[in-house]
Amino acid sequence: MVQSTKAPSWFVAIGLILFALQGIAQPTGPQQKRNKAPQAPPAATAESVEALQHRLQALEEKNRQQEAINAKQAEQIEELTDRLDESEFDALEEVSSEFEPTFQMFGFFDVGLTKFFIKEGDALAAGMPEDWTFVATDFNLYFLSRLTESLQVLAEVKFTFLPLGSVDLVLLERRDTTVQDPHDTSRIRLGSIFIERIQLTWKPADWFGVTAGRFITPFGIWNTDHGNPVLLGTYAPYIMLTELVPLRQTGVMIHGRFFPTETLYLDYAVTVSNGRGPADEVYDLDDDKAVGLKLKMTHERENFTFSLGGYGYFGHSTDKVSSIASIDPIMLDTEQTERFSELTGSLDLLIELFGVKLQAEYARTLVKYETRTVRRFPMTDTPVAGVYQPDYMGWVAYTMISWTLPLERLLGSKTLTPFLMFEVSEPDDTIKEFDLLTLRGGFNFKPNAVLALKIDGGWVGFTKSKYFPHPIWLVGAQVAVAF
Amino acid sequence: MKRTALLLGILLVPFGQPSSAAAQNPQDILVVVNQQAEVAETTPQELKNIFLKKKSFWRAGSQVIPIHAREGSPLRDAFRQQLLAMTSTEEQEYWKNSKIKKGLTEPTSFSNTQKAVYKLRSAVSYVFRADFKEGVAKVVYVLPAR
Repeated sequence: MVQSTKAPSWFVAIGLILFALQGIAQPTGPQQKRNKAPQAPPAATAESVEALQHRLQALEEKNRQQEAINAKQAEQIEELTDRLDESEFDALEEVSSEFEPTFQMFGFFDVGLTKFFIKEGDALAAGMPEDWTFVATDFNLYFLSRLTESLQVLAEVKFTFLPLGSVDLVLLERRDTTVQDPHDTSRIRLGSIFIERIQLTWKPADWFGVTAGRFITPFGIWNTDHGNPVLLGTYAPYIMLTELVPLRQTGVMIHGRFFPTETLYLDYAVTVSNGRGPADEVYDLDDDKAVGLKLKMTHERENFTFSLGGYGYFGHSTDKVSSIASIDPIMLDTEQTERFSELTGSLDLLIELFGVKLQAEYARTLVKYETRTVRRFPMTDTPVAGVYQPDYMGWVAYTMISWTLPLERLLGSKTLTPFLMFEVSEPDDTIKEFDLLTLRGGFNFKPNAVLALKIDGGWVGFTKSKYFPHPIWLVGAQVAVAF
Repeated sequence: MKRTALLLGILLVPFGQPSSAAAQNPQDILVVVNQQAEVAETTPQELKNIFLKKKSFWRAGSQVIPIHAREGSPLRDAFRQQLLAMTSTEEQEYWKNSKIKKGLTEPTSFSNTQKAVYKLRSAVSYVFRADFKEGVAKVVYVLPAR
């Protein structure tokens, strides 16, 4: 019974499958029919096909022409690129130290507006302008020439309107440099040229180099930062003004850098120079050369810098005068009028973390006289009649904290850096009149890499002075440009 | 089937196929030196010190002259970002400060850096992998594309 019902269902299933297969195969039927017996197109369609073929041929021809033009242009571009490369390589040979000496010139200048608020009648007013005044005294030009791969000359010359306007603090007279042109009676106020540095450097390796000439003493941070476009504020700290460490020296410096690790480097410098003297830029008046040693370590990582350095200096300063002792033969009598030794040391620290910078410097000196001269006030260098200069010790220290504000969203690539500086200065422990306490602060705005706009103010107090009982307030603004 | 292929692909990743494909990214920056240069390899920090002129000699002792791509070119921008970790303004600021402090000037720049390296024995420069020509210069470091 069961079997009799199964047999018809098999037949039904096979029948359904065959039907389905036929249905699937059916769509190919008409196509095969079309292939076997294509119908002739109507006359109007044939014409349009022919027209399309013509257009296609025309387009193909146009395309071939365009390709030819493109190829020709590519050749021209290639040729021009080669010519450009050749001219670049000519330039490369010019600028490369491997081939020809190079010469570059750049520099900076600044213009400022300052005012010192000094109590009326105070002696400090003798050497400082009390009125709002524009200042344009820094115009420094650099000349850099690479002579060979390892030899270069660097000169930095400062052009200044000084000594015009400077004041003789003994006579309290303002210096006038006016001269008159005899041809047309026009008047010119002469300025001057000050050679900041002129040095020849031979550097055959990172760890060894020799610099000879007039060089900037490699001490501290401010002295090596050096130029107003780099410095944050408008006023130099007293570590610079007191010159406990000579700011520049004439002589020879051996220097180099070691890399104990990739992010740590150690700098050293040994200086041998004329030391300090009445004309040390030009010649020395004794055979005792001044010697100095700088050691500095710097650790740099992304957004973090730490450096600690020191410089020690020992030297003699000598002055002499000559007079005629006899006429026949002409003989000179030379007398030593001043001689002292100075032992000076400085330390500097820099910590920079995500735009916050802590910078500190300290200098200390011990001066001992062998031939004493008339006492001179520190900084002003004015003589004090009737008193001899004693041995003395002096020291200066400052700390500056600054923060380049994270204002990229607001200012883009421009930067705004507020800063605050605290300084203590006791340049001569035998005279307390010039002991100072200074507090300064301000803003440094850099709209681009070459321009710095600064505004700052400060308070300077003579902490132990009878001569200068009143503090000075000062404000300043400056535009410094590097070019 | 798709799942099997995906699984195979995932399994193959650690064995080099996709990673070598990543290493061949045309936007990788190849740091190149002259074929005759003694240096064989370097590190990003050494390169950074060289391109910022804090260092003028390879560790091996030979002198090195850094050569930049033209300012404003995509290659220069990518190199500045990847190696020096600076913006254009920060780099300009760095060179302004270096000039005033030490008389140090920015490295020379050329549009065809590879040719410059070919020409100058002491030079080190960089080129996109896509533009690198085998045999012209020696690759000492690869800065992967970001």
